[in-house]
Amino acid sequence: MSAEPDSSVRKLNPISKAALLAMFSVLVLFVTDPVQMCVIVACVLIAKSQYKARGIITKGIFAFAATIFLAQVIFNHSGETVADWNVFEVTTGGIADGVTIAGKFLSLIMMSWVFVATTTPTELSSALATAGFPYRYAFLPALSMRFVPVFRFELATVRDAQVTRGMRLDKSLKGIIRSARYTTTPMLMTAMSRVNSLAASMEGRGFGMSDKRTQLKPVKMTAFDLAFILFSATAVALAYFVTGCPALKIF
Amino acid sequence: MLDVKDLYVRYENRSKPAVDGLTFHIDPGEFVLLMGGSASGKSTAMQAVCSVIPGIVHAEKRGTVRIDGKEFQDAASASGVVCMVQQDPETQFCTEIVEDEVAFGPENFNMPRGTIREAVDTSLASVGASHLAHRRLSTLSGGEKQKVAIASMLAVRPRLLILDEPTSNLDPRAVRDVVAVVDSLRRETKMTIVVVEHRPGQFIDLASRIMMMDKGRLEYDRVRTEDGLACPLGRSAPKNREPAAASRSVAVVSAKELTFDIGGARIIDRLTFELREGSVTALMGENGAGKTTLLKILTGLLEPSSGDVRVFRHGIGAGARTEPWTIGKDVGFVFQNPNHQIFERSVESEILFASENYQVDKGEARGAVNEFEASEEVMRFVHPHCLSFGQKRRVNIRSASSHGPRLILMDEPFAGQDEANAGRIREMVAGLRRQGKTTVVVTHDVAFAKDWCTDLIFMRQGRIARSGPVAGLTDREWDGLFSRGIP
Repeated sequence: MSAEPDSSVRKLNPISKAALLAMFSVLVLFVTDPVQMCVIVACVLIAKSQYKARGIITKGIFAFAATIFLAQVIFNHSGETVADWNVFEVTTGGIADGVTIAGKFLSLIMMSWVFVATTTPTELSSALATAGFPYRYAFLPALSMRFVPVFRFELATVRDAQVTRGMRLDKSLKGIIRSARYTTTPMLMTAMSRVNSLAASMEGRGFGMSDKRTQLKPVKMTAFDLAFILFSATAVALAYFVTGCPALKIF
Repeated sequence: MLDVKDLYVRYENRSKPAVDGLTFHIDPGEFVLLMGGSASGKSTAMQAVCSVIPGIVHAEKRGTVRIDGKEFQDAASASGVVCMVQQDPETQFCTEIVEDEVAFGPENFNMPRGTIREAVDTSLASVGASHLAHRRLSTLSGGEKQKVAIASMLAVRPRLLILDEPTSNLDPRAVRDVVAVVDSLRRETKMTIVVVEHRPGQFIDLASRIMMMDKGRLEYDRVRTEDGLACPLGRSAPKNREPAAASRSVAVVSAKELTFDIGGARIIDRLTFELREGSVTALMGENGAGKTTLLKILTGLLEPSSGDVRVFRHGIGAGARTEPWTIGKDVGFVFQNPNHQIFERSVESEILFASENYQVDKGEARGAVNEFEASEEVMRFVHPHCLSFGQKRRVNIRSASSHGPRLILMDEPFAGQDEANAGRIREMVAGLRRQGKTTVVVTHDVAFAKDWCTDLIFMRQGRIARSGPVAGLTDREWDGLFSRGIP
């Protein structure tokens, strides 16, 4: 999932990237102009195109954004009428809101994806611990992400076992409930055994024994990171004032 | 070094103790091979020694465990003194990169960075894994993972190292590697080592002492003398009373130029083979050779990239894919991990699961339930997850084979099984053959392949390195299978 090691974004401290993501999210929430939103989405898609994502995930995200856009076009009747086919009326307000809301969704998801693609869980944990976050909690992202592929693999195995024992995985509500029933128990059992093994392995190597923990490879904030955060904050503040703070009207 | 006195451990919701009145003493520098069947209490006893019980695994614990005269209350406080490498290294890794994993322990001990670096380098070197330092753990083979797991424990410099079934999931070549690592530790560090195993295997040659547990008690304890070390168990499994003859009947599976690629990597490379009706085929090869992938293709779970496969009347070649649900009627699949394939709340409904789904006659499945009750002395309404590891495995086999499939595929059914349980599985395989069913067993157990199978397919790097009737193989050829790779 991670980008190549020589990527300049990847070299940034994960905290800098998280700060940028937070500021970008605030900026995106302020934007109400559809043209500005299109520019932001285009920039985000260019950034995202540097990193590979599973096709099915990308398709799902775009399909959901399209659904948001269509829902606004169909049900939002504010502004001037652009087209009117009896029950189906398309307005300028519907299109503008459709573009901005779908754009907010797309850009937030895609920027989050870039963050995940350029940051390993271990780096994030190390950066948090180096920044003074208690290491027991800083280690949580690394641990949870470490088991995502494991549980994905185990879920696939459980599903395979169900199919080979004659269970059809149909997509009806009844089928989904049945599948969930027969998936929960095996997944819970394997998760519980993993938790015990992992806890024994971690505590057996002294995790939690001391309040402090040395890091072999600390991820420190550099002058570049600080400059990057300052620059990002300034850019967001400028954009906030240039747009005339229209989003404040909603409060 | 280690003093255990009147140790008693009983798990919650269990009436009988797992360890009952265990007393022994181990001197510094001893190499102890601790053996015993499933549920004999050996792993539980070692978890109590490491203070994993009762801190992490909840159980009632009585008696005393002293290491160098000290009693420890939890695993963290005992961590600098005793470390335990668990059966499956995959479950104990908490980072992504090899050197991060090895550094994890020293980091917790708040050692200076220079000392941590030295500990990482020394530990990896001592298991012959320095070249793996920057590799991702997910890319390592089974044997490499076990070496890294050992190195990660060595890095905290324990005085007592416990290895819980370190070779149970490994192919013979990886087993030899791990045994060599343990041997060099024994010779060079003089560390006190306890290896927990079902069978004596190759560790018997290294051990200075054998202890054997049964029903939670120490039943056998011998120290190596000038005459050697007497072991109560034989090295190899008993031979088949009715050796399987080569089968020359009709082909039920035929594969031609079968290829499977994923993510640019070739996993299966132009396989051509046939499986004869009523045969028992040992599917062997090193970890990662493509054995499980081949089984998944035969059940329709994976679609081949090219080539043709016919399983009974089902075509599974590229572009001619038959749904796994349809193939499942004729092909039963026993997966590696018993917990992944137990779905129901009672033994009876679990064994009937596939018959219910396929709505076929439940006569054979009901017979399997009756047989299970009689042979295991377990009631049919017991929850399958309450069974022992060996019993779960046998429920899996019955569940996958009692709805009338004519071909049964088993993925490493002997992994983690003690000799008694392995013997029961061997008998089940022989029973399936007597019923006229065709069986494919993925296994690293050469003795089983020699004595209980009719045919062999040996894979290496996605290709068939050797195939044909078992009867045609000489002892020398068997010995060469894993040592030379392509015999």
